[in-house]
Amino acid sequence: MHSTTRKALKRAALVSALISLLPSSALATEPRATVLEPATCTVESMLDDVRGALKGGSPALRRYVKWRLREAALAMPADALQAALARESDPAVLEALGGALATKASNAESPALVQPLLARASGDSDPAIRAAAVRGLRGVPSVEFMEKNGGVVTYEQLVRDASPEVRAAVAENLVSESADVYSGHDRRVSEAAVATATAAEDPAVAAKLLGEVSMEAVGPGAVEQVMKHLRAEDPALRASAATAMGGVPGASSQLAMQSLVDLYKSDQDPAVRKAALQGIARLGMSGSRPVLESLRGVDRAMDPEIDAWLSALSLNLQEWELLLREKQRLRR
Amino acid sequence: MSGALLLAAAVALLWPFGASPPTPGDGAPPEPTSSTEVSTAGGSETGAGATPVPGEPPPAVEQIPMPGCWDGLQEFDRTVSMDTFRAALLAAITNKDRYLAAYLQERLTELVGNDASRALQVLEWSKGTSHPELGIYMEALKAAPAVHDAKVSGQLLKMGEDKAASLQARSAALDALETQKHLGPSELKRLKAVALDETVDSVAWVATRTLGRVMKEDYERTGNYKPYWKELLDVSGRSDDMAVRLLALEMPSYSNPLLEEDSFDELKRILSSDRERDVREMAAFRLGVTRSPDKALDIYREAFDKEHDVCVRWAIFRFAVRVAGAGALPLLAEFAAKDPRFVQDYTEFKDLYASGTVDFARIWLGKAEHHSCLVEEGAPH
Repeated sequence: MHSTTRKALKRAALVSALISLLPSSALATEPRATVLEPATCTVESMLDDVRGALKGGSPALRRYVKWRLREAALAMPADALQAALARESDPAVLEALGGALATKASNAESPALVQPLLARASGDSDPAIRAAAVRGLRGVPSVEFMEKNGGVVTYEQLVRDASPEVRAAVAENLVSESADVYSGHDRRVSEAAVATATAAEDPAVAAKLLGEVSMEAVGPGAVEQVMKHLRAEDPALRASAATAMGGVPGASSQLAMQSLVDLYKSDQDPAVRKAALQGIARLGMSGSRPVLESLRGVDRAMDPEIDAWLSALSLNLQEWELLLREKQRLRR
Repeated sequence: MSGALLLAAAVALLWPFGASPPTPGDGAPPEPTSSTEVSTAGGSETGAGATPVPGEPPPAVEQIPMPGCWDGLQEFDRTVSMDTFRAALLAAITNKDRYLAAYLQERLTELVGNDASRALQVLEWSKGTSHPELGIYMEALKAAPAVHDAKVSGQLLKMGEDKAASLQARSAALDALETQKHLGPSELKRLKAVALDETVDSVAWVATRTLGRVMKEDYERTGNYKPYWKELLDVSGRSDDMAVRLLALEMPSYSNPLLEEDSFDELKRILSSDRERDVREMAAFRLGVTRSPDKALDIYREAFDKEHDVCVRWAIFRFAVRVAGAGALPLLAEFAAKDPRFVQDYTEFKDLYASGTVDFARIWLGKAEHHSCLVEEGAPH
């Protein structure tokens, strides 16, 4: 079961466990001012509920109907869901239905189920629909799905969409998939993110991918691709590439360290230099102290940043997340 | 309760550092199965539709429970009030629709909002009830901003202390306090008193967890953890309930404050003398994030010699790496020389650091497990 479904189910775990225990005597005295009557579930009735809830329902109702659709889709016939997806014209409803279909595909280990979603993501004439279809793939192993569907639609293609909303959805999907589906450990997703950043003509999207997707499992080829972005025209992209270089595996750490030292010395942009220092600290942790010391004076304005890293490193913490947290406290 | 706790503790000891840690007390989600039919409200489980062959056992078919559907849902959502809420909750409970119940819980949170009088009304509703509605009321309150109103939080604490109330109600009330942003000295003292009450079983455990969860919230917002940790450490040393002692030591794992040396004497005592292996392991875990790694290594060195349980020794071994990284390798070599069961671990840690990896979270992900020390739920140990 994928993580989104698991999270949703966890939210209800307590209720689920308790609901079967016993009815309430206190509740029996409550006046029935509003009537909820059991009804038959169909794909259409559930979509009507989603449509209505997204128009004017409470946040709780919106979550409920989308979650219920996702759970119901596991039991519903795939062809009925796919047919509904093919005719849906409301982006928000399509996103919910696409998410339900993708969840079913993940649960059933049937990547082919998402083909109609991929088709709308790549071929619909309405950019809002294309973006919604991309977002429908969030929280499932979509990179694997795309490969298993023959690579006919890939994030490298989708990121070149003319619509900024589609491009943003691509970046969000990959960031989410790396972190939430694989806890940052999946090489395929990380390398897909690097390839997508390289294919992107939108520097903001490339920067988001390199700055936020884990690089812990990438191979040497992807490290070389990231390194090329250190010379990008856009400073935000260079900074994100520096952040990414700081997260590459130990086998590439010497190469990455040297590239970040060179970047710090040559790049005049403060955000890029700050990201280079962070990358150096991450690559070497306690061992980066002499390197950081050697960079004092290159840019006087950045020396307080070097001092903050050296102070945090003096705590001799062995986990990056803890070190970063303590350094951020020092610079608050 | 204790079985679930043991699992939570074991997972806490072994989760990949740097990843989001598990939450103590979280239930495992139900695993859906499969079906192709739709259903009516009530979440009935539908069959696969295949006709069994006479004389043959029916094939095993996965069943996916269908969520229920309801007429009048949109109107209910628009018009629901505190006066009409409970009729819908009755429908959800009567029909065993957990999806609808979860929605109603969230809708109740929205209805209560920041209104303390509504929150107090929900507390009134909860009196004399039991699960499931008790849990729905308390979970809804826990998430509502009004739970931070002093009248509401004060009432919850009183309910948690009320010796005349059921243990279920006391636990639910204390659990609802866990979203507080801060606990003052008086509240800490009162929660600790419940945590140390050996007559109230799970209530003491929940009180301990609430202390720890508010500590996490306060620490992440303000950096303040010491008043909470002082009480938790005291509970871990004094409670007669192993589950409570273990949880009290476990709770800092969810925010990882950098412990200072003033905790070391007590942690050293627990590590070397608690009668339960799990508690000694947890004490070793606790020493793994500190401002004074060298002193932690000294404690580990001494404790390793006194300890004969392989699992506690393994805890000391790996948390020495967590606290000092490659700097712990000479100590690991000493440990491996004293106990050959750890030679392979020493070699693997040495090779991992030689590969250029420095972050312990990644080191740990690459480390093979050679000791059967994970305690499964309900397993004897």
